Amino acid sequence: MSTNAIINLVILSLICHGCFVGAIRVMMKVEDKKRAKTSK
Amino acid sequence: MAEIKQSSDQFTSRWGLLCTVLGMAVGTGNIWRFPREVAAMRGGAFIIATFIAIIIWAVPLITAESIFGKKTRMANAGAFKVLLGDKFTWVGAFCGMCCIMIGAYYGVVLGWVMRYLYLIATGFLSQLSALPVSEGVELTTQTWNDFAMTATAENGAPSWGAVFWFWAAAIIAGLIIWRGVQGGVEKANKIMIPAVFILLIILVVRVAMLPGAGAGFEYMFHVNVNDFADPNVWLHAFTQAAWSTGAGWGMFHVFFVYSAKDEDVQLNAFTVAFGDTSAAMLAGMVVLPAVYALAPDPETAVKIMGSGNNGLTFINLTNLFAHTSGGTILAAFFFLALFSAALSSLIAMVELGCRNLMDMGFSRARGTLYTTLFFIVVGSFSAAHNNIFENQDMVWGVGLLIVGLFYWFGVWKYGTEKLWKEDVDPCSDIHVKWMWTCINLFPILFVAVFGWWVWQAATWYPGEWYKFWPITKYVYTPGVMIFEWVLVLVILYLLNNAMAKRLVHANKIED
Repeated sequence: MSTNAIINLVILSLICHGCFVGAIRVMMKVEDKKRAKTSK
Repeated sequence: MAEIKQSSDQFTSRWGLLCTVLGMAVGTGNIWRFPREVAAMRGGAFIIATFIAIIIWAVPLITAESIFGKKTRMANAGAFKVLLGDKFTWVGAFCGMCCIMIGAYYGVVLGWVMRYLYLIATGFLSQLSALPVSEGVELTTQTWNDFAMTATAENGAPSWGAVFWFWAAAIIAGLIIWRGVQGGVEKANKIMIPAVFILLIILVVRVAMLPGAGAGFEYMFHVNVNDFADPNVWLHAFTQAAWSTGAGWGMFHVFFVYSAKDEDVQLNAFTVAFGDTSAAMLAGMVVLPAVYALAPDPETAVKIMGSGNNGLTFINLTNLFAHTSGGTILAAFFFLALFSAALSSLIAMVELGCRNLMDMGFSRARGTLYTTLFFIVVGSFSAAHNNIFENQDMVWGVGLLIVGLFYWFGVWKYGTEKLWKEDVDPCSDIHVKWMWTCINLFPILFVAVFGWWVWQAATWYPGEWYKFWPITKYVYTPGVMIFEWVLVLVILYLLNNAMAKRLVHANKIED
């Protein structure tokens, strides 16, 4: 595999999977905050 | 307007909703369409164009649909009636009907997959592996033709085997919906969606270790800057974004009928759109490297990637898996992933039909029964005759673009800014306004993508583009598309007042 293809694989995978996983992490933080608010 | 009566159905958690809408989005469009499109559109530029299309086309449409469901707690027909007025009921009904017509033939695909899982379980791959690769493809071709393509042969008989497996698929989907949102839909998707991702990740790792797989990764991830100037790359990317995420199909709408009162719509839309693309990328990283690794030479690999959805999956990949060590497990994992993806999408379509009927006063049991029976009756034609399948795929696949346009119309008529203030911003976890206002671009994008599909179809039938009968001959003509859309539109328009009178039952959400 060429260096270019490897770099593109890493970048495009990071963008795609990163956006997905990042969005879920934001969701988890929001849900934790909501739970903390309701338990107060 | 008659008072809206309410019944109760709700997701137990945000994760239940997320798994369900991901299940709706992740389907055959990810597992077999995306890899084929990446190959046809020369790799990296198409992937980048798809990311852009996700943000501009998919996320705003998914947000719009979610609002329609959450705001009205009614499915497609009822929501358009409540938000825009009784005389627009037929618009929402067309949105629902388009998806139901897709469900009718989508179940046929699930039936095919179930049959191939059965073949794998009963030693078909051992039979294949005993033959040279070139003879193996003859056997898989014969097996596929004898199963699903009998009617397309001269004086051919209906494909009764495909009909049988389709009925099994439809009944399984119906049973899940009959058990309800929590007991059926949520439970099933909480198992199937993680399974799809786990199976795909295992497959990526295994396939990456095959000698020659590097060529597939190379092809998928090389970026030629000149490709961005090719309008075909963009048109294919926007089409993939539309068809793979399910944006503007009406199913996100239906599942948000069951969402919590303060449920975010924007972050959910973004998550699902990129979750769907994530699954597609993983599938691409399985299929392309597998084909390049297992094909006897690069020319054959290119030919295999161009062999269409059915050719790629049921003829070539099946044969290739049989001729590699551990291939039976690889094939089982691949078809299990495809099964989970397809079933999770199909149950969403059944739920859509069921919910529209529940809004008219039918119980869940009756709504499920009538929807499943409709699928079985209408879909059996697609199962029995592959040309009818191809016709329905074209008509309602392109019809979905019209559904997206109807959702844009609904947003525009109600007020884009008004919906932002009333429904998106107050409960958004991210408050990114430009990702919502991108919906204002939809009419321009629609004209480009829809116009391209209709124009393409016309070029396939020079001098005959307007013909529509018999359907088995004029499978993809603009004439047959317009004929079927107009038929459904006219029927729904004539039933508008009758539907509006009955659409008075909304879902109720507990605090």
